[in-house]
Parts: sequence; C-alpha cells; structure tokens
Amino acid sequence: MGSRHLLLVAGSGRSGTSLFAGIVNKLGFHVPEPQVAVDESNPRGFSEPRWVVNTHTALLQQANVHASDARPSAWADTAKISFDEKVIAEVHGWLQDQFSRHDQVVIKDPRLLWFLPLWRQVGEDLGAGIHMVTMLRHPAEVVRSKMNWYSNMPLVDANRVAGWANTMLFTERATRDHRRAFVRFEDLLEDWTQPIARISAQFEIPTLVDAPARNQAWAANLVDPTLRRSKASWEDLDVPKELLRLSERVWEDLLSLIETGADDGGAALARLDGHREEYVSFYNHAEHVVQSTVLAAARQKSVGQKSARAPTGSQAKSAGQKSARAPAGSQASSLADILLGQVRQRVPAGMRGLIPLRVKLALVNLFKK
Amino acid sequence: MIAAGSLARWQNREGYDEYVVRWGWADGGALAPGFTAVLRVKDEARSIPWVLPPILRSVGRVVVVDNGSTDGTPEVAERVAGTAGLSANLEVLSYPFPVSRCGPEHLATPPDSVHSLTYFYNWSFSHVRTRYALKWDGDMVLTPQGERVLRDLAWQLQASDGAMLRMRRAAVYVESERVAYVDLAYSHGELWGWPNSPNYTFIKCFDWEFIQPFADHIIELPDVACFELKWLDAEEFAHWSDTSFDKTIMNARKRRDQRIFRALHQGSPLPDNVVRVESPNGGLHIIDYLRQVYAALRRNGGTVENVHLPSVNGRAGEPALSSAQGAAPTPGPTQNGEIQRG
Repeated sequence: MGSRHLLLVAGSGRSGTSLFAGIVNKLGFHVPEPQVAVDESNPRGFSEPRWVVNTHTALLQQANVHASDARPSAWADTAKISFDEKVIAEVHGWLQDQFSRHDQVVIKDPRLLWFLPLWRQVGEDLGAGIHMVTMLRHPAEVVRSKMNWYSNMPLVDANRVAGWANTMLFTERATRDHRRAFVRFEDLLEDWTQPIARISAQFEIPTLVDAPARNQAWAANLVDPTLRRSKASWEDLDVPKELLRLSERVWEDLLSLIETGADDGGAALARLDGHREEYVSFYNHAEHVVQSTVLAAARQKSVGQKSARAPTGSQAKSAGQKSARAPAGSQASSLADILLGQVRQRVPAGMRGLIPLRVKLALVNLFKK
Repeated sequence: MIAAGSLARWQNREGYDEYVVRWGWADGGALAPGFTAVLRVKDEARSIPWVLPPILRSVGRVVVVDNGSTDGTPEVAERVAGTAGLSANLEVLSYPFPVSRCGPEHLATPPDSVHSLTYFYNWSFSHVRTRYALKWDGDMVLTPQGERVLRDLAWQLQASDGAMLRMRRAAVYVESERVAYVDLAYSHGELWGWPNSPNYTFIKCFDWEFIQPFADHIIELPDVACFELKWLDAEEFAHWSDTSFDKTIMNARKRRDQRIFRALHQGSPLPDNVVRVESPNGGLHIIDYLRQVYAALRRNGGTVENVHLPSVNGRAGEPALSSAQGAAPTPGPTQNGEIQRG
C-alpha cells in the first residue's frame, strides 16, 4: 500500500464521530482546515473541515435529502448527484490539494455517509488507500442526544429512529466491499487505545500506534466519559413497535461486525440484507398509510398558491384593463395552444411519447414568439 | 403484439411455444435487489474475454443470449466466467432465429415475430429476475470506475422503483494488441438500465427497438464507466441492413463511427477528439491498459500523465494488470497494413 491514506469516518450524528476523528487527528491524521468552530454541543471540537460540510450541505440541498433522511429512496438521489463530473472534479481538486501537503487525511462529517462512493472513488483516483470507520451508538441514545442538541429541527422520535435505521443500514452496505471497521462509542470512551490499536492493525497503518507519546497524551486528553451525556432507553421514546424491533435487530447485528471476521461467515451480513429489505418495505407501507395526509397537504398548498395568485379588487380591475387590450403574448399562447391541440389530434400518443420533452418545450416557445 | 404490460405471457406469430415471452415479474415471487445484465451477442468471442469478467463482478447475474454465433461465443463466455470463478453468476441461452438487422429489415418485420429485434429483446429481458435490468452489449468494456458504480447502484436503487440509467460510451478502435484509437467526442447518452416491471418493455420504432416509457427520473452514469470495442479488421456494420446512415439524427453516432473507420483504413485525417493510445512496454494488452487509464484519459482531455493505476484495496480490489484470460490474440495491423499513424 502506498503512503497516502484517506480515512472516512461515517456514522449517525451524535455517535462519537467527532471524538474518533479527533483522536486519529492527534495521532497523525490531518483534518483539513479551516474546521467547523467548537460549540456547546461538541465542546472538544467537531473535527469537520468547513469545505466538506459546506459541499455536502449544498449537495444534499440539491438532492432534496436531509442529513438523517429516513427515505430509503434518498440514496438514489444522492447517487445521481455524485455522478456529476463537476462535483467529482471539485472534490478531486480539493482532496488533491490536501494530499499535496499531507499523506494521511481524515474526513468526518455526519453527512459523509450519503457520499461515501464519491469520496472513495476520488481517493482511489489519487492513489490513496481508502479506509472507512463507522461509529456505532445505540439508536435510543442517538435520538435522545439529537433531541437535546438539534432541538431546532421539528423531527419526531419515530422519524429520527427511522432516519437512524436508514442511514446505518445503507452505510453498512456502502462500506461492505471495502477496508472498514466499526467502533462502538462506549468502547472508545471506556478505553480508546484498544479500538485504535485494532484499527491500526486492521488498516495496516502502524503510525497510529507508533505516534509519539506526546501525541498519544493529546489523544487521551480528548476522551472524557462525561461526553456521553445522553443515556436513554426505548421507553423514553414514542416509536412504533415494528420499527423499534427492527432497529434493535439492526443494532445487534452491527455490533457483531465490530470484531474482525466476526460476521459468522456472512450470516450477519445476510441478516442485515434482510433488515434492509424489511425497512424498505416498512417505509413504503408507512408512506401508503399516510397518503391521505400527503394529499391533503398537497391540496392545502395548491389552495394557498391559488389564493396567493387571486387578484385583489384593484388588481382584478387592472387585469381587466389589460385583458381588454388583448396583449400579443396571450394571442401567441392561444396560437400555440391551437397548434398543439392539432398535433395532439393528429399524432398518435405512442408517437408523441417518443418526442423528447425538451423538443416539445422548444416548439411551444417557438410558437409563442 | 400484445399491449405492453397487459399480460405476462406474449405469444409469437410463428407459434414457437418454447420462445414465448414469460416475464419474470409475473412469477409472483419477490424479485431480488440489484441488476441482471442481459447481453445479446452474435460472434463476439473476440471481445468477450474483456467484456464479461468486469460485468460479472459488478452485477448479481448475467444472462448471455447467443443469436447464432459461429465463432464459439457461448463456449468462450462459459470458459471466461469459469476462469474468473464466476460461473454461478452466468446463464447462457440460445435464441436460434435469424433477427432482422437494424434499418429497413427491422422496419419490415412485425414486432411479434421471432425475427423481430423487438421480440428478441423482450424475450431476452424476460429472463431478468432482479429488480433492475441492465442492457449490455458484447463489445462494452467496464472500467474499474464503472464496476464500482454498478456495484453501488445495486443498493442505492434498492428502494427506487422508477429510475432509469443513461450512459454515454466512447468508441475504442483496436488496431493491434498495443495500439487503439479512442473517440473522446461526447455522444448522446442511451438508456441502459431500468426497473424490471410491466411498465418497462420494448416497442418497435423505425430503425430499431426502444425501451418505454421515457421516465423523468434518469440517472446519468459517469462518462468514464465504460467504452465500446470496435475491431478495425472486422465488419463493424454487419448488423445494419442499410449503412447509408443519413436518415435520422439517431444515426449520428453510426455516421461518426463510419467516418472514423474509413479514416483509419484509408489513412485520411481523423475527426477531432480521436486520440491514439499505445500500451507501454511490458506486454499489457491495449484493452487492459485502457481499462486502467480510460477515466484519466477522459478527464484529462486525451492524456494519461500522472495517472494512479488502481491498487488492490479491500475485498473487491482490482485484479492485477494482465491480459484478459482466455482472450484470443489480437491480429496485428489490418489486412492492408495501412494504419501506422500516431
């Protein structure tokens, strides 16, 4: 393996990803600057490069995906964005710049899990060894912690648990065929040296355990068991029983992957495949059940838009005056409508379906001019 | 032809019961996640050693439908899969009927005839038993980047039942074991993947078949995912009944192919964006070399400087750089020996 290493730290927010990235940073991995500023929710620092956070946030916004999105279909949306050559080129350029100054780079951001294939691909193109670490924390604790620190987001318990299940199930799948490790937050707090030594051996990065004593002391100083401020159980949360049972099984099977080679010859992976299928089915059914609510919201939005467009008395009067003047634009639209109507009558639907949408729109615009 | 999606069993007008189209989605059982790649092939024995291993590594199942090959394509496919240790993922089927060539022959053939491209495609894709179908050609070579993209899409699309995959691929004109010409001009993307459901079947159009419907949710695969082999000493346009290619915009790609072919054969100037690539010393076949450097070549606008060849990393690491196993030797320069430009 070459000297370049890209360490990708994934996991649900509030799972100890900051602590892990902070430790490996002290042991020699570079966290690209500038970093996200420390705040009360993470007093020892996030170890998140600002550029990465901004880029991921923009991409998620573009894909209309939330950082802890519970929709399993959201993975197709972020995949689509990740294939954009411009996005690939931007990430490539930024990471190349990091590697020009540092051989060992760690990237951590709670949104990273949506873009693991993108980072892996760019890292490999730059000749880096790719290593993925997924932090594990019980979903009830994750949700409780998020309720405490992300209270500005109006997400209910059940949705947050579903988001945990979705992100963890698919993150496990995303990292499956690669050099990876799972680390339990509690284990890191209890004795951080053991998980790090295991990863050092597993990833063949001896510099982690060979770090100077001073650096090891810095790493040790980051670990504070009181950081685990949110302890919770399922009883504290309002979650459907089916989702609760599924999440608990996912949690147990993820834990079984912590020890190297402890996946029972693929049995745990097969169970996780089953859980993922079950979650997709569960979520689809949930969407079907609440269809009335969705339709009602859509109707409400439609009514709102119409009423927003409805003219006031003076506007109506003004509109009437404009109508009387019969603007050229409306005549052109009518002409376009007539011509398109004739096309619809004379060209069979099957043939119309073959005409690309952009061509149709171009024709409409042509008639309107 | 029975209307698309109305029934799961489509008869052919010749009455061949064993070649009735029986769609996998009509079995009632749950479809497995992921892709099945369907390759309709005829005399592709020469390309298969480079085409088959990457696609076998990338999707759960590959169905090769042989249409009357005389060069041992089915046997080569089975041997190549065996050598790669992936025989369990491969199914080889035979479709013994002569199929109308693209163009006027296709136009003159009813879509419910076993001789129709449309029927042939629907029969071939009816063997898909996964949630997504992937159309693949016997001359399309996946790059390592493309392999990863397909492996990831298997889970990324697990909950998405309406996405279609579109991909552009460049033509690679193989001159010899060491030299090829790559057409880096961007072509129009084509649809290669779609959900395996009653809503997605092939219909007849003028020159060839089309998959319908044209979905709004289209995922564009990276341009570096794959390239298409063209052997300079082969008859590239044999599957067309009319090679004038002057009728529709759909044939623009074919026209360019023909132009490059002629230029390379006649020694006339090449069109823009066609680059010559030579494998470095060491015996690496040009196709293996291109697989490794194609992404960089594409992104760097035709140069392969400062390329990091992929290293083995984790369980799904790349095989060592070597010639495709089971590949027949590539003939040297074409029959007339005129292609010597660089």
